[in-house]
Amino acid sequence: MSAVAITFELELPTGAARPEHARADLTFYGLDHSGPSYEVRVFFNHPDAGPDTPLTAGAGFAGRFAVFGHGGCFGEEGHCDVRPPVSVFDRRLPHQLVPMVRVLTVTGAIDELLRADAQTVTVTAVPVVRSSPLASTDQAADVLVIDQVALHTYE
Amino acid sequence: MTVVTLPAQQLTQAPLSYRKNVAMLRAPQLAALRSAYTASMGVGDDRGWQYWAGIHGLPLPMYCQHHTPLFLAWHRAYLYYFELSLKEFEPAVTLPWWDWTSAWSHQVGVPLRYSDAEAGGQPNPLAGGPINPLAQQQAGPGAPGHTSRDPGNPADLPPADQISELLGRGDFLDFQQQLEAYHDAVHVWVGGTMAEIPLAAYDPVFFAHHTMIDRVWRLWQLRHPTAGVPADLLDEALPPFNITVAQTIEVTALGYDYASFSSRTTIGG
Repeated sequence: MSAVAITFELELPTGAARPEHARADLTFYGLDHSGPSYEVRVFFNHPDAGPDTPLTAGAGFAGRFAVFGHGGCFGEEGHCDVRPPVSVFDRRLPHQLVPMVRVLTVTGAIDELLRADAQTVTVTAVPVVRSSPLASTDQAADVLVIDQVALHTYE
Repeated sequence: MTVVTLPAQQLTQAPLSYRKNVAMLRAPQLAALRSAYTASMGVGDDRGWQYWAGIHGLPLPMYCQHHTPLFLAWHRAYLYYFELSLKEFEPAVTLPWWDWTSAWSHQVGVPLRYSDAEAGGQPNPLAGGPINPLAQQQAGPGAPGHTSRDPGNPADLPPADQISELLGRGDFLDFQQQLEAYHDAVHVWVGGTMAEIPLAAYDPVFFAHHTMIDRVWRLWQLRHPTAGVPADLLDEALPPFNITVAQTIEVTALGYDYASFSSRTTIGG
């Protein structure tokens, strides 16, 4: 099932004082996991990447991660709306559909860009939804929702 | 971050149960496992398969904790209680783990012991499971009555070196977040109903997968004895189980541990 990719730009560490890094992580904040399960394939500087793009460094492939989804809403209307605590005394667990965070380690791909003295990187996140016994084509189409993405490097 | 390590629980006199690698199960152990699953699937009340698989997903409420700080603790409790339910049918049974990092798994994928349609001329209960009719009803038209799998390329399963790297991480929440990423990848790799939170636990391979996840957490605990779950999580309950996060920390206090291979004999008495 096809789904819509998201493309965005990130700044890279620059300057002569840039330290060597041992690890580089892309952190995806606010990922939706209410719908079908999906895989996200991340490409650098390949904004036209899609589900059929080869998973090779030459095609800009940087890594991938999976999201185990809730498969839709099975309650009545409003059941799957993320509801905040009703008061400071609300001891219930947070709603299960609070958007999630996922970290993708992309050290090798970032190293390549820095060696080429790149200042920025165009990141394309391609969602891939396999056939599912529960998910509809409509649910699959807009499965990828991201609030923010950050690049962190560690010495 | 404030972290605490609980004092080691006092070991009981009773021998621990050892969870084993599914590839290393001896024939009687595998037979006992299959017998327990068959018996569980034959009971329709809250001792049986439909009840235990349904706790994770459908029918509502879905109790499982995913993508939250309670992921590992909740699933440790789930395995513990489910394993107890199997022991009521076969007292010596323990949940085996599927090492999806092994070279063999990277060739064949799902263990043959969980994918062969038959075992000893009988249907293999580890190859799939029936889905609760109420769960089917809540899932909507077209919901399956039995589990299915659609595995990917075995070479795409998480490799051993990634788990080795993960075991070196010193912060619990960092470790848990990344372990859950590998967990998600395996669910999606198996595909079919295993890739759907509402139905995943109706597949027996779910429990072999999660026993591997629990084992990796145990290995991390042994590697980092002074690190641990953040203090503000320890008193959280793990519904529907009557256990808190703190009570899941020490597996020997829950009566089990992990060993690649285990055999036991009784001398006298």
